[in-house]
Amino acid sequence: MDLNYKTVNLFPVPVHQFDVNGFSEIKDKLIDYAYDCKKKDSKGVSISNRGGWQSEGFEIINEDDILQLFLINCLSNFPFIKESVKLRGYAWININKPGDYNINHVHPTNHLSGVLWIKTPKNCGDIIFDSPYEFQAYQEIESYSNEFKDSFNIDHNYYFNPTEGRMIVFPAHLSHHVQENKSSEDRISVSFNIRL
Amino acid sequence: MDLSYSNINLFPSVIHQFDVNDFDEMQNQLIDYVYKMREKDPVGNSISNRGGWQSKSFSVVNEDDILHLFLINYLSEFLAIKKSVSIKADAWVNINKPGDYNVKHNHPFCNLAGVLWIKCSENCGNIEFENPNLFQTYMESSDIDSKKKGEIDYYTNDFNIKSNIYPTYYFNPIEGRMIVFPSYLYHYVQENKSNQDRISVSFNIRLD
Repeated sequence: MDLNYKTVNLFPVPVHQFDVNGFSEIKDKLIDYAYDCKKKDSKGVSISNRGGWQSEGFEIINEDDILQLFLINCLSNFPFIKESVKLRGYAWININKPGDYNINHVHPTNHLSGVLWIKTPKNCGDIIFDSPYEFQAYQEIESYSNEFKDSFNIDHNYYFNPTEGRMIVFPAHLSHHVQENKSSEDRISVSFNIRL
Repeated sequence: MDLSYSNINLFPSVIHQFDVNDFDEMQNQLIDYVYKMREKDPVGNSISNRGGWQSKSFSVVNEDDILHLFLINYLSEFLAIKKSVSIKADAWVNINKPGDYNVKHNHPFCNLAGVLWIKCSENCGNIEFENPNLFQTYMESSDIDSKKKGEIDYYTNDFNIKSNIYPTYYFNPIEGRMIVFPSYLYHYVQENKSNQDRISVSFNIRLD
């Protein structure tokens, strides 16, 4: 049969990726900042973190604060958000020691969430997103060829290797976890929630 | 700040679209076939159809049957599916008279579903799919124009169009076109506002 074939990919879950050029110039300052925060509040909070230290959350508003200014500058460059929409961000710092990880979770009561990776040695733990259709589409996903799945980012889950100076922003409903830190050093990141 | 931006779209719901060339050579035979089916079973089935006639479902297995063979030939070209996976299809025929439509539904107990459009005049009713993430991503629109268009409000229109992110997405039915979609995806068929019958064949696919 003489057929023309194409796909129309509907309703994807968009992940926004920002790479800061020249991040190495600020990296050490942000690392010091994170450890200072930990010194001031060594207990931190316990939510999805297993073993890791997580700071209290703080609103991203203070341009005199090195970390907050960094996040403000990143988020003010968000290209596809309507100009009329205001972003309000709340952030917290994560230090996952070797052996630490974060269990599966979502970020309710928010529109978007994100993470900025500050210090990420090799094998310190990928962030893995679960397909929202894992249950409904299990057999469909299993049946597609690998080439097809790779072409369209269709799978049971999708991982990002943490890269220093990279920030990703994703829909807050997307379930995810952070793998165990299998390196010999701390994994340092800043997570945040965005309400629009 | 010197930033590089990129966007990665994950986990789309894939609609597979097949267009058969020279469908008009076959169209009248299929139309006759469908009306004969209705003559044999004028009551048919009532599921999502409101007013329209829907045949009983049948397994697509008989290569001596014109409609079965047509669907078998279509589905044998489904290259996205691994060769090791078997495709089992059950189909049924739909005739929506002027004024008929199909209410919102999905297709449980199968993996993919699809439709082949056989006869569709202008305004006979689009098929419209609902965004499965609409609840989670909804944001109250402050913009009356956006509400009318039904856009996800916080992204720019350019981004939504580029990424196919909408509350709903419709396909205009085209004769000789078949679409196959994930069976979990809610959809409905709009009212037939033409003055002729709208004829299609729907099917469910189980992948083993």
